[in-house]
Amino acid sequence: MIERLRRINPLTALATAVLLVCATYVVPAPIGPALTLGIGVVLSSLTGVGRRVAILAIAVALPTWLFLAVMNAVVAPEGDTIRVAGIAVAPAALVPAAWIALRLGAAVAALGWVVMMTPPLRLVHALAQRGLPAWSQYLLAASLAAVPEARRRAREVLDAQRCRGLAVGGGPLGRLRAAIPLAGPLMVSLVTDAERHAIALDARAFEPRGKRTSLVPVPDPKGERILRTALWALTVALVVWGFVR
Amino acid sequence: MSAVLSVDLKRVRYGDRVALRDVALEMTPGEILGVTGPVGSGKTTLALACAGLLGRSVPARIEGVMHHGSPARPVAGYVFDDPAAQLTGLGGTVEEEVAVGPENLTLPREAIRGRVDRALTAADAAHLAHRVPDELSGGERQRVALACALALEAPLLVLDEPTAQLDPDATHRFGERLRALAGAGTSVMLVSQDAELLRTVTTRVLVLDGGVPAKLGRASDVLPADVETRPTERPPVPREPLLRAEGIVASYADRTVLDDLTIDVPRGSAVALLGENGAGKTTLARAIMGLVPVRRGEISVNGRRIDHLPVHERAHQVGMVFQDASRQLFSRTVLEEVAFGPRALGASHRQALVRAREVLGAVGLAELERVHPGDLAPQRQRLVAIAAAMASSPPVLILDEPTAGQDPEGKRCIAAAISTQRARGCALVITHDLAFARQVCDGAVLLSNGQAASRVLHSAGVLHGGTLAM
Amino acid sequence: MSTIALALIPRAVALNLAIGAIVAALKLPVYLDSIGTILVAALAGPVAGILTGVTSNLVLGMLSSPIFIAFIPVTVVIGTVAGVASRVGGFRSVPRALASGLVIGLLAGATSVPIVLALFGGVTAGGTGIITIALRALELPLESAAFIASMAVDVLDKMLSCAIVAAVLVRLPRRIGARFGLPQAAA
Repeated sequence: MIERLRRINPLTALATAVLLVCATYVVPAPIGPALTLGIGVVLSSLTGVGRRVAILAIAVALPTWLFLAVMNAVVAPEGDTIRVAGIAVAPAALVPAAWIALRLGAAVAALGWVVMMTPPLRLVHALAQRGLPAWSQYLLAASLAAVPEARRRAREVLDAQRCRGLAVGGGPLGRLRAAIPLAGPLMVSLVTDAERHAIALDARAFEPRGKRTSLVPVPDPKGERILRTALWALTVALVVWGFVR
Repeated sequence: MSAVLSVDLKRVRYGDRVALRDVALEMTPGEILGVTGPVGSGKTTLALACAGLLGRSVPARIEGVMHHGSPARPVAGYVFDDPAAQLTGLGGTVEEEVAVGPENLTLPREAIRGRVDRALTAADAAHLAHRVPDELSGGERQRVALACALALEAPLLVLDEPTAQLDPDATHRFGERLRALAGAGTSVMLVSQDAELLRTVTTRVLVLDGGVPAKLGRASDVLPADVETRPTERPPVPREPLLRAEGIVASYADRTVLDDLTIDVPRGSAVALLGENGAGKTTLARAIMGLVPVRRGEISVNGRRIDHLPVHERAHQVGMVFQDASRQLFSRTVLEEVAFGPRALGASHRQALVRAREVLGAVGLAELERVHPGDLAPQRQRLVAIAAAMASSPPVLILDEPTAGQDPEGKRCIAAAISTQRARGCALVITHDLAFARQVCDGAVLLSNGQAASRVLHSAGVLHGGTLAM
Repeated sequence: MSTIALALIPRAVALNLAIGAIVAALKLPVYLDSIGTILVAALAGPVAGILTGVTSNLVLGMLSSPIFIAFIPVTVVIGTVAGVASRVGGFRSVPRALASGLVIGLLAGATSVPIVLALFGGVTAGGTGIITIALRALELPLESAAFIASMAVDVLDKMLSCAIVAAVLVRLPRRIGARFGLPQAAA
């Protein structure tokens, strides 16, 4: 069963995550978020990304709780206060802060599960097979592919301009002025690149509004498609219930 | 034998500017037609026109007849010089990227599979099928780009300077691929500055000049004969080193690239830095500049140590010209761009402009003063970058592959620049172009196994023809 | 949308993600992480700008943290306002660009406040959060504190982003500028 879960179509995982996120915010705390967080953690562990998802969720939830705690319990205490080391602290404010952080953590865990379990392009391919038009496939895929190159180029611009004597330290005005010789070549070269990429797309018979077939199939068995429909329906029902309540 | 391509162009214009005039030619299956000419002569326009790419992303208008013999769609495969720009990113692995063309044609999966396999084999890239394009070398990426074009299975293949950024070895192998393709019946149009490549690979060569066909015939008839490279008269070189890097140990990506390396560049000389890809030429240059930390060793200019200085302070002593000029150009005019270095090093605005004018004159680019650097062809941009580095008057100038993709006029400018630099200090030229090195440099240093060894450039025994004998 | 505008967007998305290296080297107290969105909006209009912003946040959601997906409405506002500003000449000079940046910063800041209130209880971990807490210490109501903090950071960030975009637009090769319909400065 675990193997089957690991081979799940990314869209099914996405539908599951969206349902979990909705449940996190519609079902009252702490039951809702605790439940969805639990499910998210279980799904992550079963698919081998438990540790990374946990780290991501904690990295978002913990600082949020801390900042909220500092603001609502110490700096501008809400509710009854007690004195701790001479400062008025409102311990009751820690609880709603915790629920907010818990919800964030659960939502991040659910979406984080999909993202970490699925290579980004696989998600794009899965969408493509369900009819995503060529231009949006291109936007997502090409953006992902362009990031490492752009980061490299930013480092190269820094190197090249330092070699010409540009000092990146110094006072604020100097650093501000240095922004143009640094951001400038990076931005200009990326814009002129666009023309070459456009020619390359034309040369490969790319039709922005067209459909595309694919070499590597992302399996999408009928059972999963039915499951997805059910998940989306459940999500809608949940949202409606949330509004009605 | 019906023509694959039949062209009778009266005019091709970009807005008001006429880029190409009165071009008439025919291409038959299995032939390789070379197209060459100086920068700006219309070669790329012709390539785009024949590949059927004008009028879409490139806003040019054709007045005349362009007839492709086959009803195939698309009419041609197209490969150009920039490996990175040709990869769309729609595929995560090489074979997925090669499949992008057939996928755009909405072919069924089995057909795509067949085309991908055939294309990878024909481009000699089958072993790269599952690799990530981003991790490949330039030569490998160009072969993938070739496979991407071949996957369209068009009767015509148009290539625009495909080997401009490749070393001689990769260029040679690429040429062999083209010959094999032509042998199997594909028509190939090859735009290139590489006379050697044109001579070995093409059946005919069309020379363009100023947008107009100047000559058409066999490569040997039509291309200028190789200028006999004689060492030019040079005054005796004094022995004291201007640049000295001693006992350098440096790593790159967990590998020790430079292993107790020592190199001297005497005042008044230009030294070629040679070696295979990965031998550490660029690492050494970057170590001298301070971009790469040195684990051991000393670097000095004029007898004074510079290895404790940060990069921007070393710029007073050492200038470096990178291969890709577009990573540093940002000004509105060439003059402003060349004045940036002196300004950054403390000159007043007026002083910097005076200096910039001087250098542009010395290098032969005076007429480009008011031109927007972005409007220049990449080859000319590199010349501006060289002038920009020289404007700060560094005693030591390092150039990384300055002649890659350059036309003869550009090479002359670069040779003039190196001459000027020799008179002021010294130059270290990283290059694969042995003919150029012989013409311009007085000595060579060969990097291998992390160490440097001097070589004499003009000794018949050591360096033959276009390859290194070690 | 023309293919060249389409091909521009991934470069701009990558720019949004890559500019951080330069910001860090210069130790500037901003992010400039919408600079690509603003550049595309100025060159190719609001629709392209919106697509750049949305794609950037989706990519960040995939590569960094899903939290970015919640802030998509903010990037939609940035793309829209920058595109409209460009159409009325808002990037034709650096002073005009600073004004455009002010407007974009105010509107973007305002848009992010409801998101921060709903999802984060009004304070996000980071510089903006610290300002919010400081303002709460001065007894400002939470909504006002979050509003002012968000505004302050965003206005500075967008004004600088717009100024750099305006400076870069003039430095584009004329050929490219013409492709995107930029009024060319006299030579």
